[in-house]
Amino acid sequence: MGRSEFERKLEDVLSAAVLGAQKGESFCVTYKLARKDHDAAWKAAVPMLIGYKAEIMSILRFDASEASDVAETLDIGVLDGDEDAYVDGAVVPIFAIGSSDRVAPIAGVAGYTAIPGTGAALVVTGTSAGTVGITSYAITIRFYK
Amino acid sequence: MSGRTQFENELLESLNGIRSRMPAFTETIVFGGAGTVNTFEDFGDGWDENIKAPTGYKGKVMGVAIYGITETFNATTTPARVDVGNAADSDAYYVGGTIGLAAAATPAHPEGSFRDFIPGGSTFIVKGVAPTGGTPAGRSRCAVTIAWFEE
Repeated sequence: MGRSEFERKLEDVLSAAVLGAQKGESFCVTYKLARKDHDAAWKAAVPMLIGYKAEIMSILRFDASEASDVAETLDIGVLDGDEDAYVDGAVVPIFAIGSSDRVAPIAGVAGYTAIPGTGAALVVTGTSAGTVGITSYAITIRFYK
Repeated sequence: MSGRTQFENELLESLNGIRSRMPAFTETIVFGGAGTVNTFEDFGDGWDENIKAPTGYKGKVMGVAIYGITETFNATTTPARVDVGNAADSDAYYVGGTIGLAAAATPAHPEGSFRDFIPGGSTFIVKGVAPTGGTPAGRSRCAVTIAWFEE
């Protein structure tokens, strides 16, 4: 309907690019960490992929088996490196059995740093001054070229 | 006033339409197998878990997997299933497919049906519905995959 060749080509290119993205140029992995006890600091390492940059899309706290008594802080960074490079002191609120929280900051939030595609493993560190609290975490990471 | 040509408006509308159909991210939440206490979900008793949806994203349940089965499911009257809903309506967002007589060697990927998007920032409930009749049984892990779209 009166489109120029350039306009038609632009639409084709954009459609192809979007389809390519849908077919797997990026993908998400959710790492469920085994239940963590908030009566002591804990660490969990998760693997990354060489050649894929990454973003932390979500940090879900859920599936508690014991309520906590104080808030916890969460860091995510490079294993054996800058251990709060990507998430620094995110607050996990006091929780009860049967509750769930989303912990910020994550990708899309001001100040968030994307993860380079070096393949260096990440380490998640939980720090709490509490005496009780056992819960699970599901960390969702998007990998992209 | 936009000053856009008709083509530019159509192109933007098309791109926005495509964008709205692409999930910002997908998330697979595993129930059971958490280690220290709860290594399975007990469908014989039924179970449910509250989950907070991310703010700014609406969710669509894409599938449910039943695996790591440590006790065979029965289905004397009605089979087990996994629904996703809220406090007012336990299958408001997804009605689970029937799990049937799943045993350790037969993990299941029952096909359920989408009902509605999970609202961003809400607390939704994943519910393992017990089979009925006889002695309800069935223990397994359960993975629920949700696609989150920008609202």
